[in-house]
Amino acid sequence: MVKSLRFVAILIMLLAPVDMARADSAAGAFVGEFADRAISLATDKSKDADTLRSEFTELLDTYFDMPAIGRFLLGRWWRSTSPEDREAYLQAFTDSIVFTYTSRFDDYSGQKLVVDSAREDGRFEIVCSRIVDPNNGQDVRLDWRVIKAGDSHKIVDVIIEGVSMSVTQRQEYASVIQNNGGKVSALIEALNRQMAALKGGS
Amino acid sequence: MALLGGCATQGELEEGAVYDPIEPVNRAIFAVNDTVDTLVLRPVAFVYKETIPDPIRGMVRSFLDWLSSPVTILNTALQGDWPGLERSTSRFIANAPFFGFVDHATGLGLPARSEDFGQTLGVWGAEDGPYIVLPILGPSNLRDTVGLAADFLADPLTWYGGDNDFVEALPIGRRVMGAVDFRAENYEAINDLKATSVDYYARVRTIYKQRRDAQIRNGTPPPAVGPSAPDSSGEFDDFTPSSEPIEQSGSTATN
Repeated sequence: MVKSLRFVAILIMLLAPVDMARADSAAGAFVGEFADRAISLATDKSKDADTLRSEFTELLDTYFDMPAIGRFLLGRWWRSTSPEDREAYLQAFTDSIVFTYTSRFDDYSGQKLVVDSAREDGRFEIVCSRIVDPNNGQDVRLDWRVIKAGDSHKIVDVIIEGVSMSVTQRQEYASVIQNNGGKVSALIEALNRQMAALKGGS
Repeated sequence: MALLGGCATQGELEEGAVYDPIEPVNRAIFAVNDTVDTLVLRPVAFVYKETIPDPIRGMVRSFLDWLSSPVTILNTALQGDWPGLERSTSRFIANAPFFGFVDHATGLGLPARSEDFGQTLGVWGAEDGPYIVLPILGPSNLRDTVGLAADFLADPLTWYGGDNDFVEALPIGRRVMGAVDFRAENYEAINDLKATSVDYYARVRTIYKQRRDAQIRNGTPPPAVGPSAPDSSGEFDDFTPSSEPIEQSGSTATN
């Protein structure tokens, strides 16, 4: 009896840290769930390009705060932009993200996302993960900036080896707008032009 | 150092922006570099990646990394990074038997990490200084350009005369080879980076800064900027999630 009690005590001690780590990181689980769904979409050969794009758009809307990211990328220019331009911009921005990522689906070759840890960072949580490539020794470090949204989460940024996608886009968009006399319409045109070129080239 | 300390204007920049006072000049050099990439580097890298088997390319990369060991070791020491110094020195010794062509060290849990004098200056607290696009060498800034020159002068290979053509060609040869290898390893990624950008110059400029900042911190999270910046980077201070109401009026507009 004493023996089995001791066994149970040891078992609890061994299991406790694991469980705590899991409870700690609902955000980590959320990111892992997104990665799983994105990978299963990327490896689904039965769907045509249009279906993939519309399903990936849905996936992004579920896991990412797309309207808020779009607004953040426009920075101080958001306020002075007309509602029509805002809508056109958000559409062009989402299209370009979806097209960029879905066109890379064919490159997928068995990489896995391993979620390591999560830490608080002001209003946000940073989930640290790695892409492990079975064909290549070097892991790629991927951090996710996640914000609480009701009783779930939303991803607001992906940071690849220290390079934030949101900050990069924001700086790039700012440069386009600045070089065109502060006109957001110039950015929308540039995004649409680039999208047409990409679609024509593929 | 006094030269680098004089860049107070950086503080007036918008959060996350890159200080680029000579942008027109930089853009012109960037365009030339991009043409060189399209006409020379990209095709050479393509042939290299398609004709040379992966394991051989790995050996070349490992050799190049081994050649830069003295500079890495010196800089980890200057940064006061003792675990880093131990690792870079152990790597150098572990890979010495085959002049770095065989990478034992990574398997021993000593992964490669390059340290240069630009990073050392960053650790010492120097700011980036103005962004500079160097001909052929590509994106840099005042701090990293000073670092590049210092590393060149500190590198034993620069001074090792030797009477052997191979050794004499090493200082230039490894830079060329390093560029070809980097372009080949990131072939699709770099092509994509350009194809999907609306302002390739601005995209590379911010990526360069973020990447260097991360290298200086060696992958540790950035320190909190101050009490006014609740999150580490400060760049997300004005992020408003969709679940929160957005102020409609322009009353607090910053421009």
